[in-house]
Amino acid sequence: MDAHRGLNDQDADKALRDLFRSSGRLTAPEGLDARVLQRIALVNRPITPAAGLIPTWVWIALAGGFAAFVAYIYSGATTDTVGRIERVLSSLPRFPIGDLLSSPWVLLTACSAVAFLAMDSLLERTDRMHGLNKARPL
Amino acid sequence: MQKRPIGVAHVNETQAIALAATGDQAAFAWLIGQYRHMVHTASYRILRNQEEAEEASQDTFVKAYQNLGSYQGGSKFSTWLFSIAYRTAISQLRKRRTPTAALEGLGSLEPTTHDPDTGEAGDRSAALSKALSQLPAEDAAIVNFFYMEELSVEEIVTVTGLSASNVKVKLHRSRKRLLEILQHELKEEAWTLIED
Repeated sequence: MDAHRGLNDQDADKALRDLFRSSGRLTAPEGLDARVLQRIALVNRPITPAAGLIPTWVWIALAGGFAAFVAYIYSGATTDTVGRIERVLSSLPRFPIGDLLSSPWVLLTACSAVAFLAMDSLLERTDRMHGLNKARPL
Repeated sequence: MQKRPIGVAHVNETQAIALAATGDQAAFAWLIGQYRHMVHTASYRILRNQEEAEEASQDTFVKAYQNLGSYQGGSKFSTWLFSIAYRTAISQLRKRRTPTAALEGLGSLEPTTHDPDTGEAGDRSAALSKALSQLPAEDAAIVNFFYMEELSVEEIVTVTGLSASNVKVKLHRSRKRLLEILQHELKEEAWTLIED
């Protein structure tokens, strides 16, 4: 209880709420709307969180697979764990990345991809600077 | 692409939010119209300076526009907007070099209310503004959310990120302090009106 002129908490709350209500909100400056709209015309459109390239269920499946793998590694109480890991790793298919990178076609493809990505980023930035981002279709 | 015009008179808040999230600026203008005074009041209660409060209000709406896609409708739109306004104003306050105390008591910086009162009502309004300016900025914002915007403690927790017990303690202390200041500031007749 607020020992304030005999007001208990509820009375004090009511008195203050009435006071706030009778005082009203402050008035936003004239033209605030226009200035905000002017600013948002220059910035990018609303950011909607993009759907991930890899769906959630795939991540869950991968996590499950990894958990199963770890469980498998540690499942044998009497087996040597390091030996077991080595056996599992050696059973995985080998990916000859060195052979692939030595091919000029692969290198050319990678360079082209980098060039396209760079150009896309440049164009995106230019559009943003000039406010050319269009609203998304409804 | 031709933008679809919206009939402001026929749009409700949910529709306006959905349209604004697709980049419809007319729909967003409608939302600004609905919330500008609330956002400005919340910003001003923290910053206590007209120009800074306007800047914070503008920043709040721009951030809201950019992040409308992340508004899932789990809480009221006003609560979501207050959360942005509160964080924006607090962040601006922290950046400010001049201590808040230096700006307190500057009556000329107090903006007008919707309904500029005279006489006792005007006295009460001025006394309230003065009393709020003597509370710490965060507490003044919490009091404003609770008494003016009638947010629940849970909603204030969402807006401020403080714990429920912290919000309750701040409300309790602020209420006590406000009543003390108001009693000192208000004439006896005006105080009697409040007590009624």
